[in-house]
Order: sequence, then C-alpha cells, then structure tokens
Amino acid sequence: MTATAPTTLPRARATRTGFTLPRFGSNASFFVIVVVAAMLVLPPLVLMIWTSFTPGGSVTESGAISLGAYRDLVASDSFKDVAWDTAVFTVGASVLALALGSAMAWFVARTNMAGKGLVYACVFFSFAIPGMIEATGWILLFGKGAGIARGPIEDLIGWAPVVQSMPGIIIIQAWSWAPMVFLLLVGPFRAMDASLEESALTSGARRSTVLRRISGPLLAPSIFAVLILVVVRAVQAFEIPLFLGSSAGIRTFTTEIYSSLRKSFRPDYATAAAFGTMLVVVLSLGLYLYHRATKLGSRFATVTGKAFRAREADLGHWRWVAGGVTFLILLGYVAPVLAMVMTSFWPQLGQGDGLGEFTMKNYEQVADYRGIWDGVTNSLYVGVVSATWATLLCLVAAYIIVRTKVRGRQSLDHILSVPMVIPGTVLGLAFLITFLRVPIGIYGTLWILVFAFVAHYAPYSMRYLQPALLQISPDIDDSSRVAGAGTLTVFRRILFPLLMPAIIGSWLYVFFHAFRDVSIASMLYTAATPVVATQLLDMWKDGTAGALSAYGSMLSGASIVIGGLAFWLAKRFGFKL
Amino acid sequence: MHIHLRTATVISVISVALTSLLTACGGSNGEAGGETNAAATAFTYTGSDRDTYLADCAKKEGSVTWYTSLAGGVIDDMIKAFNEKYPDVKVKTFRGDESDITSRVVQESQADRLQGDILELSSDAYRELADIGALATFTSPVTAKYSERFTLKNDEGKILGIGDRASYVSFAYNTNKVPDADVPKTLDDLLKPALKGKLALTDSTTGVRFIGNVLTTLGEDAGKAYLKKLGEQNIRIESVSGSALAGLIAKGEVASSPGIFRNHAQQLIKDNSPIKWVAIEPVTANVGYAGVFAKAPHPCAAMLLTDMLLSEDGGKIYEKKQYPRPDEDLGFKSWVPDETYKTAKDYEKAFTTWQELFEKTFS
Repeated sequence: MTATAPTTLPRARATRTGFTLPRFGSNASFFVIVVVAAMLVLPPLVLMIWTSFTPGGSVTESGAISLGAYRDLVASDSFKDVAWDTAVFTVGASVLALALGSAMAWFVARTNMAGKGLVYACVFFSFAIPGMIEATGWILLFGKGAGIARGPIEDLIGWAPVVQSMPGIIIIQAWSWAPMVFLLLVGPFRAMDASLEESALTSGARRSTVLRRISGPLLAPSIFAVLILVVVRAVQAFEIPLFLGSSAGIRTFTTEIYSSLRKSFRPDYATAAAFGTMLVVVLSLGLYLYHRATKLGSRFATVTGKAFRAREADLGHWRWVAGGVTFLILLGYVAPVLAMVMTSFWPQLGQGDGLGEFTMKNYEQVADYRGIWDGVTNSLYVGVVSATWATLLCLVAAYIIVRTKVRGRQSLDHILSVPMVIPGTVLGLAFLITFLRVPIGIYGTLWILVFAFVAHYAPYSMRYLQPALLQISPDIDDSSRVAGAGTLTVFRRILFPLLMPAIIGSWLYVFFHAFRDVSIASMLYTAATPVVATQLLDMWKDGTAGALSAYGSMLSGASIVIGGLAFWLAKRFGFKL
Repeated sequence: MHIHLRTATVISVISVALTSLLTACGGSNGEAGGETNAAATAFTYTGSDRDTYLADCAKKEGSVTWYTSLAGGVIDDMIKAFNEKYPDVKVKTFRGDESDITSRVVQESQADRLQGDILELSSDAYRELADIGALATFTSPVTAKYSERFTLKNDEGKILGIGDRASYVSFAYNTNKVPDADVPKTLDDLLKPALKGKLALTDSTTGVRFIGNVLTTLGEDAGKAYLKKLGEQNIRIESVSGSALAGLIAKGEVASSPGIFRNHAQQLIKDNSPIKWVAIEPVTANVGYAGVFAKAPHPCAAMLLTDMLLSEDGGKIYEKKQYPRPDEDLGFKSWVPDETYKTAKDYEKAFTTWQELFEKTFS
C-alpha cells in the first residue's frame, strides 16, 4: 500500500450520488466527537491550572487568586533538590536509553550479529512485565542491604552496585526504555539508502569516517526526535523513581505530586497542582521541539523509491560477542522476575546458605488477601472498556480528520494530543479535582479510571489509527460508493477490515497499559475500586512482601502468556504492537 | 505543536465554558457532618433485638467500607472473622497511613462523596476527623469495657470513638547486622558512630511522630540540637509503612530503625526472622480508635464491624497479631502524641512543625 495524502470526493459528486452522510451529519459527528474529546481532556487540565492559582481553598472551594503556591514551591528548600534530581534522572536515563536502544537498532538493522531474536525477546519482556514488578525484583537482587546478588558480586570484585541510587534508577529506567528506542529507530536504520555509504566506502573512506560523516548526519533528525520523546517520558516517569528513588532520598516532580497530597492531614491541592502545571509547561515545550524535529526529519529523506536493502556489515567473530552482550541485556529483563518468583517460594533466599525452606505460604496469603479477585476483575474491566472506548473514539476522530472536509477538523487531533504532555500522576490529580466537584456519580466508580485512561492513551491510539487510515487510498471508498454503498457500509465492509491490524494494535496497547498503570490509578482508586496496580502498591507500602512476590510472580506469568499470545497474533495477522 | 488561531479559539471557548459549568457545579455542601436518619437509628439502637435488627439491616445493605491505617494480616483476619458471622456483608477496605486516610476523608467529605462506613485509625488523625464532624456518636454494649482515658467523647459526653488497640513504636534491629553491644538503650545511644549509616525511618506519620517524641522528651531546643546530630547519622528514609520497614529489617535490607512497631517485630520473630525490638523510653504509643462515619452509606454493617473490632473476638485477633488493648501495661513508659494537646487544631499545628523538621533533618 502506498502512502497517500487524504482526499475526499468532490462535493458535487458526493451530492449527486447521495451516498455520503449529509453535510450536517458529518458536522454533527464532528461536533459530538469534539465535545466528548474536550470533555475528557480540557476541564481537568483547566481546573488543575485554576487550582494552582487559587491556594488556600479546599477541594470544592477555591481560595483567592494568587501566585502563592508557585512562590512557596520555588522558595522551598526541597524545590531545588527535586528539580536537580529530576534533571539528572531525565538527562541520564534518556541519554543512556538512547545509546542502548540505538545500539540495539544498529546491530539488528545494519550488522550480521548473532541472535537478533534476543533483541526482540528484550522488547517482549519490557512490554509484558509491569515496571513495578521489575523494580521490586531489582530490589531483591541489588537492594542496598539484602540484595541476593550483591554478596557474591562483592566477594568477587570487592564492590557491588546498589539499585537505590541515582545511577541505579537511571540504568534501570534506561534499560526499560531501550526497547522502545530500538523499535522507533530500527525502521529508519533499515530504510536508510545504503548507496551513499557504499559510495564512500568504495572511495576509500574508513568505516568510522562513514559513520561520522555519512550515516550519523543522515540519521541525526530521527535520533534527535526519539531523544526528545524519551526525555518527555523521563520527566513523566513514576514507578522506578517512587519504588527505587525514594529509598535513596531521590525525589522527582512526579513522586513529589504523589507525596505532597499525603504529607499532612489536609491535602494540599494547590501545591500538587502547581507542580503539575509546571510539568505540563515543560513537557509542552518538549513536544513542540519533537514536532519541529520530526518536520525537520522529513527533509532528510532516507526512504526513496529505489529498491535496495541496507547493507549488513560483516562483524566476523565479533558477531558472537554482540550476541553475547545482547544475551546479558536480556538477562537484565528476566533476572528480576526470576528473583521474584524464587523468593515467592523460598522467602529465606539470600539470608543464609542455600535456598532455605520451600513454602506456598505466600500464595495462600495472596488467596486470602482482601478483595484480590475484585482487583483482577476491575483491572480486566477497566482495561477492556478503556481500550474499546479509546480505539472507537480515535477511529471516528481519525476518520473525520482524514476523510472529511469538516472545517476545524484538525482541532480534534490537537485536543486528543493534549494528554501527551500530562504525566499520569498529574492527569490523575486533575481528574480527582474535577470529579469530586462534578455532581455526577463517577467518583468512586470504575468509570473515573476508564475516562482517565481513555484520555491518557488516546494520543497513542491516534498514532496507530491515523497513519493506517492515511495509507488506505480514498479511491477504494469512492469505488464502493459508485457501486452503491453508503458511508456506513463503506466503513463497515471496506475500511474496518483494512484497518483491523491498526485497530487490534491500538486496542492491545491501551489494554496492556491501562491494566498495569499505577500513576493514574494510585490517584483515583477507592475502597470500591481497587485494581491490580494499586493492590501491588498497597502490598509494597503495607509490608506484605511475601504476598507481593507471589502476586507479582502470578501477574508476570499471566502477562508473559497474554503478551506472548498478542505477539503471536500480531505476527500471524500482520499488525504492529 | 502548531495550532491555528481559530482552533485555539475553539478550544479555549469550549474549555472555559466546560470549566465554568463544572465550577458552578462544585461546592456541593462542603460539610462533613450531618448523619442520615438511617445512620442515626443504626448507631444508637439499643433495643433488645439489636443484634438481629443490625444483622438483617446489614444483609440488605450488602457491603461495608472500612478505612484503616492497620497494616498487615490483621485486616484480613478481622474480615475473615466478620464474614464467618455475617457472610452476606462484603467488606471493602481502603488502607493507608494516617495522612492517606485523613486526606481521603477530608476530600470526600468536602465533596459530599464519602465512601467509607467505618474508621479505624491512630488517635491523632482520628481526633482530626472527629473535629471536622466526619464521625458520628454511637452506642454499643461493648463500649462499657473500655476506660475513660481511651474513650473519645463529644461535648455532650456521647461516644465518638473507642481506643480498640495499641501499638508501640521504638527501636528494632536485624540481629545479623547490629551487634548487641551497639544496640541503643536511650535516645543518645542512637548517635553512636557504630550506628552511622545503619538507621532508617519511614517518611509516613510514624517517622514524623518520632520527631515529636524527641522534642517532647528533650525539650524544644535540646531536641532540635539532638536532631541535627541525628541527621549526621545518614538516616535512610523509606516511603513505606512501619510494617514494611520492619519487613525490610527482617530481610536485612535495612539494619535498624527507631520507628518500628512492636507488634510487627513480634510477628516477624514468630516467623524466625532475625529481628529484635527494644524499648527506648518513652515509647511512642499509637492508639487506634474505632468508630463510624456520620454519613456512612451502610450504617448497620458499619455498626456490626465496629462491634466486631471492640468485641472479645476482635480482641483475640488483635492479640494474635501482637496488638494489646491500650490499657494493658507492658512494662515501659509510653507517650501518646496527641494526649499532650488540648485540641485537634493545636496538635495539627505541632504535627506540621514536626513534619517540617523531619524534612529539614533527613532530606
């Protein structure tokens, strides 16, 4: 299929055939979707900003307008530390993730390294295992006081790493994002026209010179765009800084928002909202730069009409070394989960000699844990409903944007993109403030979580659906209409099946992320609406470590099975994940 | 992101209109108090058929929501025992530390969206919530067994809460990580060079109360000077509950802490974990109070669960998990944080000061 700019039927023809929705129908659909999208996204954001400028009030009553919350925040002793920690973490994790991910992409796309499948296994594990479980597993392995792996390593080399440290959280976070960087870069690396490199090599340039003078500059815009995206993700990071950073006194903006609401007997919404607003401003700037970079990237065309395959460099014996290193990287994803599974059966592991006593006690404790099945069913419900609604909303929105000429249709894309700049904790806070005020019974139900997830993941869902729709030539619609089909029939019989891979991809993306999300859920759950993520968080805070390892192991197992199934389906039916 | 002026105008108009609508909808009633008739009847019912009346009514209600700062298996054990008696009443819980619970109750009460029916919470936070009118007065045949000292009453002498359990916070250590010779017996001993880098505290209310204990015991100036020295001991701060911190000590992840609950340590000792708890006097007493929310959506079930916590059966479950009743003498001097303060407001003020000092000392 070729990429084609969106076009629509000439108006006169549409009117003559009478097969399209009447104009007021398109307008009405546009209006409904704009209102739904705006209702989801804008009131929480505006109310949060308003709250930050009206300190001293309560959740339902605003204080007087002032800059007090910002003034107090910036003047506080901890602000500089928090800003510094956030900056160091963001720069460190982004640069390292970029280095690791682009190296993976380069080796897979441009060399004959051994074991390329291992890189895809890394992608799978980072996709399937929730960050909270990875973090807990890392504490078991390299925890400051009792990490199982620390003793033997210290005996061997006289020193062992500690995960509860700035380098520790930077490495672990970078590790978890490297597969995302890999996926974003492996395409451009593969699609690069190799003729320029080959010409340089033929002319006698050394490989390093080619990399520096030819390949580097060609790929720079793509790499820069990915870097900005990773920076944006790093500023939004929550689980790793919360689980591992807090023990080392590392506080980031997102963890500060979470804890500032829990510091005193009366929650300080203005301070949390001021933190949130600042983050939104910073991230908006980041996203603006990202859009500039991607626009710039289009000027450096790496894909041409010429048929070629990027040349794979022969690494010789080094291809096995590259495979070995990749295996070690893969171990980084598997080891924490293995550590968790082991300690769930042998809790004394690492505290003396050998494994210690085998027990099923932790699993029995999980079975007895309050509301455990409610959490699982709630998570499944929220995941399924959020994925379905987000995909449906974005499908209609993408159709309006790509296939109609309704005036102002681009505003839909803009509205649905707004949550990209709102970190999960901030979005959770904004929804909390909003739905405690609104006199409709959404607070305390699963719907508040569903709405927040739909808003949060809509931008990602759009990224699946909009390009897929753009790739389907409007000629196909036109032919069907000429053959007598109405708009709905065209949508149902032609577009829907053609879009199915993108629809499934979007659905699975939202489902998995909504199922495991902790940043939004931790702000919005109540006694009636526990979800798996909040139960894990509760077990961690509550000190039910045995139950946490057992529950984490069970969830990891389930995630690997479901994730494996999703990947298998993706391969079989040709959709992207 | 390039947004056209017209698009920006459309977005701004929609958002302002929606926000105005929402703001207008807000501020529902803002009052925490004012119990419903059904709640008032259930909470004060004294007829001879009280048990049957409450059980039938609770069955119709179908569920009860329990807000608590209790941690660990005691919650599950209590629910299990309750459900053996009342299998048709589903118990939902919201667990958190005192700040989690109070901020949740305050925000839900202000928005008139309270989800909780029954509260079991440390005395200082409990008084805060009583002060804003979130709690109802109640009568129960079991309240007579409790002493006046641990019975919270309103101005009319009606019961707002009963101290159903106590837990004591002091020093615990991993026996493999801290030799007996280094185990502190007084606050000054915590400054020993041998303990440098080996101490931890939680940043929850348990950690903050430790600051209160120091300031109350040593006095304002001496206390601050002491904390300055303690800050130089490289105290590790964990964002977990006291129960979780005890678990970290048992595993050896953390060597020791002056903020560990005696009952959590005792439970871990029963599981053969290498942990010991010692009393550094005065030991901070964390007295848990039980009571019902004025706007409880399920008042009958709330009253039954409150009865359960205060009953002999409830006492046995607490005892099994090493929580004594507050009156029990364990042989050491204790300090109940909020008892020193006349009003909840005074305590809140002091607590805020401790919290600021905590951040300054350990961040």
